[in-house]
Amino acid sequence: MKKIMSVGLIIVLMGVMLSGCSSNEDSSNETSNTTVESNTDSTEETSQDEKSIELRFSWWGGDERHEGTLAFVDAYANNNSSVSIKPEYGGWDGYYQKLTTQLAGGTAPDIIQIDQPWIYELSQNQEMFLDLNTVSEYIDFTSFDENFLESYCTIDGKLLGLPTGVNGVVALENVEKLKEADIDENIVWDWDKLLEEGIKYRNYYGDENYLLINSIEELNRYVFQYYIMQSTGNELIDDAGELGFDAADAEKAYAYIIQLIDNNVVVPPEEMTAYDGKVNEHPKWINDQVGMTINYASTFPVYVGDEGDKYQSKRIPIIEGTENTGVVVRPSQLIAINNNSDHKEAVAKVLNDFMNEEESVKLLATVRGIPASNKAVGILTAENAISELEAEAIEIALDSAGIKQSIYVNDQEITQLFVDITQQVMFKNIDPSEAGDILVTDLVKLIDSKK
Amino acid sequence: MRKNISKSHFTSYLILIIIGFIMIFPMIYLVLGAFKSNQEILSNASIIPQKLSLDGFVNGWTSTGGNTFLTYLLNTMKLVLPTVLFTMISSTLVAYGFARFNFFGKKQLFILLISTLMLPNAVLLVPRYLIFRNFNWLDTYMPFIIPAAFATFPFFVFMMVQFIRSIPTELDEAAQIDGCNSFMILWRIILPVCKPALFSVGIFQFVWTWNDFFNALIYISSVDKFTIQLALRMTLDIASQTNWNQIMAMSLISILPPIILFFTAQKYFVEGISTSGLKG
Amino acid sequence: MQKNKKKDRIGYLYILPWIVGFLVFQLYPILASLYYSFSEYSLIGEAEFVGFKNYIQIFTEDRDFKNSLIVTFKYVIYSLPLKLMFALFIAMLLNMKLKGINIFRTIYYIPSIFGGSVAISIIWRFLFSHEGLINQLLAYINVEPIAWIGNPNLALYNIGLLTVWQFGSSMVIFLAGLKNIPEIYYEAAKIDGASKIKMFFHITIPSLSPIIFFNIIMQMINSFQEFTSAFVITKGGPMKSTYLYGMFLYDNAFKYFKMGYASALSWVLFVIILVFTGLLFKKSSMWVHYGDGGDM
Repeated sequence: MKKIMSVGLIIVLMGVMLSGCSSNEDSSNETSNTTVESNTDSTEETSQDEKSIELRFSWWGGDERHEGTLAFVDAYANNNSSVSIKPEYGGWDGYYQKLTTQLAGGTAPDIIQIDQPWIYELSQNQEMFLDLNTVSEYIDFTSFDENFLESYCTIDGKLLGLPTGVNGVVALENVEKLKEADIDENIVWDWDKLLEEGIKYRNYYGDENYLLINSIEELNRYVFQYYIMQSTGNELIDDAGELGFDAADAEKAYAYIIQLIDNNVVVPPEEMTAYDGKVNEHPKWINDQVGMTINYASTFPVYVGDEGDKYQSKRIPIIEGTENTGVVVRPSQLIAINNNSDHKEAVAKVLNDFMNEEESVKLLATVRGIPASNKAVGILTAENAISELEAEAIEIALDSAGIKQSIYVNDQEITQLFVDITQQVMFKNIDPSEAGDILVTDLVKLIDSKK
Repeated sequence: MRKNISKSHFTSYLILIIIGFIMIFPMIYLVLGAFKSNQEILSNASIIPQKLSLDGFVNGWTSTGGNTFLTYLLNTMKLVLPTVLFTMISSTLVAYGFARFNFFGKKQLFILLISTLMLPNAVLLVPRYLIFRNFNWLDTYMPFIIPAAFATFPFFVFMMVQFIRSIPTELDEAAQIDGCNSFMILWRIILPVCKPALFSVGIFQFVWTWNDFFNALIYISSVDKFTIQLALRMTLDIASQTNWNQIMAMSLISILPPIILFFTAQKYFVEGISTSGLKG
Repeated sequence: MQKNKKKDRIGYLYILPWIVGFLVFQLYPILASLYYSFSEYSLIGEAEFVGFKNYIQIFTEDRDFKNSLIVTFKYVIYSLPLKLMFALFIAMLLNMKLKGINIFRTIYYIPSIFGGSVAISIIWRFLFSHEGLINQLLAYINVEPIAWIGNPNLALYNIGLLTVWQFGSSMVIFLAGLKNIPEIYYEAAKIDGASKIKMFFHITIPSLSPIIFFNIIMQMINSFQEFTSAFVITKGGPMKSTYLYGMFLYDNAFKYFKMGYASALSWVLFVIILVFTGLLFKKSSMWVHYGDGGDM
């Protein structure tokens, strides 16, 4: 008995020691190279470039992006014998959760694809990403628009990532459907016209047909929020956390949305619940019962499929003469470098190759949207590798760009608050004036808690 | 007499078939969908494919990155089989301890065991990740297999406890008189009677581990080591067309092993205490 | 007496694997999450101790907390009894020596094999969306399409349907339990002229009681933590009518990166589940019969 007890005690002590140690060493210098796969042969550490280095590169995407990026990885290995890149890729689901777990455990990859808003969240307490200015000798920044880098990739003077592509919010029209309903092909949208033509569309096509299709979350952003920004001419929430609108402004915007619903201009919210982020799979879109949608240009190829000729991009509804169109133009993703990487120099070179080298640009093509690097755009245009639809859409977005949104607007909790109240309004659970008051009160409280 | 039996059998069959059809209908949709083109699935035209297509299977099988779906199937086996084996062994041992012995603190420890189930996994994920990082088990299947050897699944322990406890102690006592020690009682008396329960443990652990996505996602980084669940979601992205026919085809393939396992394990459900030595 | 005690101590040896596993793999995470619940922790930085702040916020200010709790209770009350009743009923049918019973058993277990599969979301959409199969069938009898997933009043029952559909595991456990009831009990009862109903209540239920008890406890614990069905089908909508506690917790942990707050939420849930489980255990001695003559 005693023997059992003492053996047990030893096991216990070992376990507690092993499990509990380095519990709070989030800033540990455990680098990506020390996460061991039991049988790998290529994770040799090196301080000089004599031996072979392995860098880990993580991204999310679909089939095309995986193929293109893997081609880049292979080509890079062929051209640079001392460096190999280990790809870690998958779908969008769970990517961010995994990344933050890795960052918390100090096991994140060397090169990381991130969604642009994440740099705010991820650099709040710690320097998660390498300041690219410190490795500027290896990277050519000239192919990027300075303002773009400044606005979206830089925090406190530190350049935390390079943009893979440009993206913007644009309307996508089904040309034939609109024409048949006698809507002018060259119509320049504003909110009143959207309502008017929407009624016309519905009258022409009848039941189960709607001019506009968007998920509840998208309506909240592209209709409700943009309406407010355009009417007031202000930012939604500025960098200091101040609201750019009051309850009356919100009430008007909610009332507008109710009008869209009541007049059957937009697909009813009950039918959209299961299609968050997947409006392109909605039967009404597939069966051509709707005329247009508003979304990021990068999603257009998915909406359009093989039938590119049926569609055209258009500027979203904008109130003429407004100070802030609200239209978001931002990087599709950023590629950032882990600040804990052992091989910052090597990674910087990879990044440069990714963005600027001709061969790489051709391999990567538009799997991450239209590139943000002018050089890359030039190369791809010469190769006819850019889809006209998307190119046109980006141009429209750039033309109509609004004031850059503050980090508060992109915060998940704040976004959820907006969506919740918009939903309640859309389901007629509360009326617009009530909603306006609640929104403002709750928003101020929530923002305060984050300051 | 005969007529009565047939009638009750007939009603049973009828109920089983009707409800069974409802149960299996979604799977029928899955099977048929696997043979459609992606466009057809989304346009929702009819449940039966207008045009049979093997695209889903062909394209789904050869995924990007040079691995075929076979790799992922084998990986999942490598992960699941040891986990299941260890779970069955350790859960039974621990359950036997709780069920048949009356040691000091038993009740409290048992309560502790069950209460570990009551804390949602989401908040335990990061500390557990740190533990496995410290053991250098990241990007391996160890985080699944090793804990299984230590009965860290109270569900199965509790289940075995209930089954063992429903066996009368007379059998144990008889064996003891015959000179058996505790392990022999377990091996010769308890286990044979608990076969249905034991194989339930095996099947459930198999299915649940087979279906696990989130844990596999967090612990496994190398695409070569991906399990089926990771592979199925590997190309799902908002900015990219989802090939539902591929997903359905591969989902179909991935649920086949558990189904076959369950079907063949059924002979263990025929036995039970009814064929054990109570009668004598 | 002495002999018994010595024999009983061997029990420690048998449960040793669990003790080791608990100490190495579970104790630290549990203590860590308890510590987090008293902190603000965003995963990216250090955990900052804030005392009871999270708990106070949960109970005084968080509307989502109240809503999710209510939604989850509704969900448990609706799906748990249904699931178990189906499971027992079907298990009894499948216990009979009918031809092809193996195939039927497999058919009834297949939904459980699906789990939270990716395919579920598209299957569910196919059946229950506005243009889905159910509505198409309803159109044949001239009924207007119903928003099964989109209507805030129906959505919860819709995702509950997913759970009930997957009653297979409970059924298998009942089946295993039924197999353990000696035939001779039924035979003897039949000789005594007992009716089927009497046999059910006087033989089946008592003999099966440890298993029934197990299923109730386990399914209750699982339902309170349910997350997958809401996540896969409705993402908690519409209007948070399907915002189960498990999903609410997950959002706080991994969407808003308020790991401290999420930990507090899980400990609150823990206490709730503990209380209900404790009550069930206490009452169990009244109706659960063990072969070893003991009780809980």
